[in-house]
Amino acid sequence: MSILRFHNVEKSLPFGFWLRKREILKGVSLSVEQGEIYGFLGPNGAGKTTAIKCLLGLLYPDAGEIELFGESGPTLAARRRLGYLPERPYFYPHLKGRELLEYFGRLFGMRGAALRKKCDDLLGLVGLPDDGEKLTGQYSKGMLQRLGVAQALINDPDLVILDEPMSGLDPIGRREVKGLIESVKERGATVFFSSHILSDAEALCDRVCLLVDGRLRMEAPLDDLLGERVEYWEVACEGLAVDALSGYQRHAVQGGLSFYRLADEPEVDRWVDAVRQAGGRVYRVAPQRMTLEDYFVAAVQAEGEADAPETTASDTP
Amino acid sequence: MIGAAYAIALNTFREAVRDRILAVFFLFAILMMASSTILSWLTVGSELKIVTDVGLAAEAFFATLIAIFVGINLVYKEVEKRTIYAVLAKPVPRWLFIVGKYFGLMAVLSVVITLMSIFYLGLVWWKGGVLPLHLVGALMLSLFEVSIVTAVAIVFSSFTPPIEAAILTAGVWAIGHLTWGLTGLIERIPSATAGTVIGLIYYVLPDLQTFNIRAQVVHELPVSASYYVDAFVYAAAYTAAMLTVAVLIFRRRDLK
Repeated sequence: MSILRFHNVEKSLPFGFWLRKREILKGVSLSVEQGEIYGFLGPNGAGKTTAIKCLLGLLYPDAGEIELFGESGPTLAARRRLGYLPERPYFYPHLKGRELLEYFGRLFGMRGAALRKKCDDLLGLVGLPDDGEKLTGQYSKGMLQRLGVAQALINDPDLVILDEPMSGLDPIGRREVKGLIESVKERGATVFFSSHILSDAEALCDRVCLLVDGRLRMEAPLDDLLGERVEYWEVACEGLAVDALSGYQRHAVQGGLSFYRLADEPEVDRWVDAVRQAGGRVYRVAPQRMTLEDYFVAAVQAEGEADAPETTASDTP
Repeated sequence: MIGAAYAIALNTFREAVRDRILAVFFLFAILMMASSTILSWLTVGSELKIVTDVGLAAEAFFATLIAIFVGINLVYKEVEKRTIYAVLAKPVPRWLFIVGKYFGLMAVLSVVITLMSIFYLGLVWWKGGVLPLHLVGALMLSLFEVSIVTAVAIVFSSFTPPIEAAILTAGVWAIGHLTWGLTGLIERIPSATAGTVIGLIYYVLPDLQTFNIRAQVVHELPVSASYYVDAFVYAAAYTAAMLTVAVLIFRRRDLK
């Protein structure tokens, strides 16, 4: 069941001194199913944050429709079931971590002992149990990100929207936030997160979509997209002279190892036989599958080529 | 809804009281009131009048300064610093955000005016003055005045950066103390059209001189109870109108 749908959403925003309008979203349509982790991917400037702001009611779409929990647009009832972590979260520096969570809890009508307990639980969940009495102005970027995740969960949301949750974090911070996203899914919530860090999306997402220059390039389950199809085989051998394997183009040499890229399994079989016959030793045979990054780069390049102006005979000097 | 409005007001209150600028303004107000005792030495026989007059003026001036300098940032800063995103993504209508911010700042101003008044009334009492009810009335009227100034600051803060908002709000405040002269002008001007235009300007701009009864207090002239009621009704109506304008501007604004 879809809990979030974009239908041909368009949005232009004014830029520059003359406030000229620039199209940011050019008819975006997508749908997010209940219980999944949905990766909203795209390069910087693709329009991901604009789309999220339209979804939250921070921006008003020029055209199209957004459906949230079956309601038209981000109504108050829909926002009651929503959690949101902004990109590069910046919270009120005059508030302590606990005060901030209490503030956001009160916006949902929570109060008293139940609110205090919820804040304790969330501070523990995000690894800040002893930092609740510190001013958020003293928090590091990673701590702010974790506090941001905590405030996004204050109402036990059905849908959590995370805008670039891993952006600017060190590897440890990224791993922690990744763990938090997985725990959110385990609680039964749907996660919609935007990112341009593809390894994170590949590790977390059930489905992804790719937004390039305001247009949705694809939307598919990650398994369908990458699948089990082997793109090529990377093989390596050792103990052979440089020219011992005629008919095979070496890809790289590292230490005593020679690396080759082969197209398919029969070719790998023939290569293994050739190595053995030449008196060498097979060091590695590894199938290489398409990564999300390969897909992403190919799609962005294709978009760039499509947008490039056509060269006509009259243009040529 | 009330819980959310209270939360926004409380956050605004906390932000203002934890900001150094409030303490600085408060300190200057106290210093200016205290300096009125020095001024009073120069005016033999009128010491109490000087202390009363300068004290009331200082209190009204610094309360207005706080209303302007905190008010102009109320909405703009939230948008600029992106703190508003997480707030409006929650079940908080935009009008409630504006109203919550307004009441938060009014709570700050009420506390500041009360503290300044305690100091000021202590000073008047120390100078041997009796404490007429109208002195308290004058302090209450300055609260009514800043309620209008705060609402005007919020209107400008909902669409302009702080410097422009400060200039515009200060401009409205200054003009607001001169608009009372327009009523006399309407009576004297021969052209009916010009009279209508001036009348329109008079009703659009606030008449802040209504809230200034310093002369009556200093010279111990009577002020009727109905005057305070009228001033309260005027302040409440003008504030409500300004907040409505702020909400209308902010309601459909794209938060980039």
